[in-house]
Amino acid sequence: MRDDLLAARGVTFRYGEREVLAGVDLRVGEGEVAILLGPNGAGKSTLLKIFSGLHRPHAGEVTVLGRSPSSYGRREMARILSVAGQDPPLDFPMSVEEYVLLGRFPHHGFFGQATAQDREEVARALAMTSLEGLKTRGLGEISAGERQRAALARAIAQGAKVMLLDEPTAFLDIYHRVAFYEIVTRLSESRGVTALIASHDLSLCAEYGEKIVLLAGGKIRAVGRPGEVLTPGNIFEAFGVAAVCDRNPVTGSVRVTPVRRDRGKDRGGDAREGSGPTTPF
Amino acid sequence: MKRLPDSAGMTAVPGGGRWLLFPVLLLFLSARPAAARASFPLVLEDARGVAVQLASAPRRVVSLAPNLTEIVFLLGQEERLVGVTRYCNYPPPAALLPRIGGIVDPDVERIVAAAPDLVLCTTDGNPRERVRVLEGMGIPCFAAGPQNLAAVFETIEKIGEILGVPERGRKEANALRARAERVSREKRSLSPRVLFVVSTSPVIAAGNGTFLDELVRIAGGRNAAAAFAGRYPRLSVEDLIRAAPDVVLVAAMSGVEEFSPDVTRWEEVPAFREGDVFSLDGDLVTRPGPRMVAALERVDEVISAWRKRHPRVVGRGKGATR
Amino acid sequence: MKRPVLAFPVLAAALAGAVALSLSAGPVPVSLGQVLRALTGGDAGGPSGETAARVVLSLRLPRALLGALVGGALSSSGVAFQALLRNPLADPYILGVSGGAAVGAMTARLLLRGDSFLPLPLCAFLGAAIAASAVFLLARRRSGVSRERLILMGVIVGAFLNALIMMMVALSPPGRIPGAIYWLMGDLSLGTPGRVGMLALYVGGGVGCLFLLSRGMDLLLLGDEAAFQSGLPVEKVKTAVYLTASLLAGSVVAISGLIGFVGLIVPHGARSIVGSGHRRLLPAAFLLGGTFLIVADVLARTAGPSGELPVGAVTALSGAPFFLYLLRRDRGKP
Repeated sequence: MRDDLLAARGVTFRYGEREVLAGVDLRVGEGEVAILLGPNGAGKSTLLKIFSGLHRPHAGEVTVLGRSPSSYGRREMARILSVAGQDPPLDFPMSVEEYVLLGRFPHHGFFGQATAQDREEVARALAMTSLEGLKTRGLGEISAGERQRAALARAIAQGAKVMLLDEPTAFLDIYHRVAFYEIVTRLSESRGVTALIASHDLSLCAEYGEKIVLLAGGKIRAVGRPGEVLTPGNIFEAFGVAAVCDRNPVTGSVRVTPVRRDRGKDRGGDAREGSGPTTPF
Repeated sequence: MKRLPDSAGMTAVPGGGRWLLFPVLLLFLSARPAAARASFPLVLEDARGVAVQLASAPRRVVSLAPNLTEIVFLLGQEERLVGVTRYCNYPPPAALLPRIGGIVDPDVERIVAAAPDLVLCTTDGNPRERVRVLEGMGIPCFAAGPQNLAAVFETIEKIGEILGVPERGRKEANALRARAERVSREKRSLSPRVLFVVSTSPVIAAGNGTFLDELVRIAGGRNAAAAFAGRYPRLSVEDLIRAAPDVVLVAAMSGVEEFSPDVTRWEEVPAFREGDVFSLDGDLVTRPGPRMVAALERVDEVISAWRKRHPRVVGRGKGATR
Repeated sequence: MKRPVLAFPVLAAALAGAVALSLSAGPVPVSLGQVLRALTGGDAGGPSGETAARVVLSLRLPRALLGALVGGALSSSGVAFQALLRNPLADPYILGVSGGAAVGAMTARLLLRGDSFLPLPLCAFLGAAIAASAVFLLARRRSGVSRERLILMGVIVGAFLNALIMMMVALSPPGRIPGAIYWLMGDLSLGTPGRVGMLALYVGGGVGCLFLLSRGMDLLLLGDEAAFQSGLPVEKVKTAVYLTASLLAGSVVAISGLIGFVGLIVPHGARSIVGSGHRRLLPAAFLLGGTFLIVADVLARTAGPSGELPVGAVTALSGAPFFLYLLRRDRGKP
């Protein structure tokens, strides 16, 4: 069991003049579900792109299974590591099934035919993401949330040991957010998949993440179990929001609740009765 | 006695001839402009129906089309030309005259700078707006736009009038009329199908209502492109086979004069089979001017030669129908 | 969406039907029986029969074959450009090919002396190749070639080439202009058996290459980053697709002039029949494009009362309403 399936050491990256990552150290072990937590612009997407080989760090290094991403062949890399999160293309009519099948490319390459195993993996991915009923529909005909699940299905069908997921729950309702994390957890337990999820979903990451990596201002602020990382002080420093961190009485995991800014010290935490509707949502 | 110099210079005349000089010069000087002065001031209706007014004979003339330039030269009035288009190349001295632009794009400023007192323009290409601008600046513009031979002869006479040499105009026009008459009066038994093309790639033929069509008919031929609508139909090789012309005339317009061998190998077309394909200088047939008659005579030559080679052809009832 | 299994036989039959139509239609009256006899080398039966046989074999057959090759090549090239640029409005001419070919052909026609048949396709092809390469090199950055830069450079280079063409037309002797303009509008009559054979080689090679790249084109549709992360050598594939599609379009434009709308419309029509997977889309577009162009050419040859119409005008006229129809059909989709 390696503890550095994914490793970053002193990674620095700049977009033009702007420094986005300023010396990031990170390790994700085999079979771990790690959540890269941070506000918008913290550099989460950039870090994921560096792991997948799209960008090269200006300083420092990253390794995937001990080797630099550029040392792998493209297809070899894609068999090891899959990325999901970008919205699928809408320009051309493509069915959900066709789209998910594209995830099998690293296995059969340019000239191979889609084998029975490919189709099986696709069917399984569709089942996991509850998309079987929609598989013949065009990507443009389904909702944004369904499209995001299709993106996840494609990453699952790719069958890689490592999954990088970039803000994959943005358009999902609470049911599907929970379902998403359930799926990833199941993949990790049954297939030993290692997942690094970039997110700013404070409420659920504490429930499902084994390791939380708090990234803010280009630096890692805290790493560890949810209880260690999700403290009011850390959250305020990273997100600029006041929050209350306690334990969920039922599950025992950390629960983060943001606090309304205009709560004065003389007001209680409960809503006043008979006060009528307050500010509209 | 030494010879009398022309009116431009005066040199000493030996002996007692000096007293003769003055009256002779007076007679000479008054003879030419007198004929002109006799018709001016003048009002003449041009091809647009505009009544063009000239107070006196024009001394500085600008021509906005090659056919008009040729007519001015024909009337012997070329020394009055102070500006012509860049396409005016006949007769050869015309190429040396100052240029004032093209036919569809005459340069108004250059024309004005030449200070003309008459501009000859054509309704077949000169932009109307620019002519209006010139007229707005007080420059009289006389428009001509002959569409057939008879109109060409009339135009020659009218331009003769507006330039102040009406007898010369009539003389030249009648000479050309006589030549055309000679061609049309010939006895004919056979009427070959004639195809007149202005381009060989693609093949673009002169259809009904064009000048070339008229030349063919006067010379006693049948226009092989008569079955097509439009003035300049584009013909495919199959259309050529269908039309089956006996004679093909190519009005070479500075460029592609030859048919591609892929086209001429079709022996179903009599003209290709017998080699009756002839070239004509394109300028002869695109300028509605005096050289049209030369073109007519050339067409007649070609057709007559063809008749000599085909004294008797049986069963030539079909025309070029689709 | 039709069942894809049925689609290919139907498309192939449509193409065959179009060829048959093209062989029997034209000013010289030729019966279907004469067509068959000519094709099988049977006895023509008399001089009119011989003429008919020669018309069929030397005029109409090369024309039909040229129509199939040109229509097929333009459609395949259009499919490739639409995938490369991820833009449903892309066509083979968008990145400099048409402007370059036109400048090359106009140079040959207007500046070379005499009957310049032989150099014209070569000049047009060189012009297209140079223009397409220029667009590509201008658009290239260290990070590769992005579609935005490709389109930008294509527009710039295209505008420049159009200006050149305008100047050439304005400054050339008037007698040469009509022929040049007719070329610009498309002409399928310039096919000799030798040229058709050569074009078949080019088109076969080009379309074959594109077919090999079809998986790559599928992945390009995901976007450069996603394609990269799926294991595609993105820059290599983009370069290969660009060069192949440009040279394919350039080689047919060199022979037949600028025939528009085929490369734009037919990919959409084919997509609605067999879907977006390029393994099926490319062959379907080829067959459909060939059929479409042959039919348009038959109309161009026979419908005009004043001789031939340029085939490019017919494709444009029929293309626009067809496109509207497609858009209306897909109304429900965003």
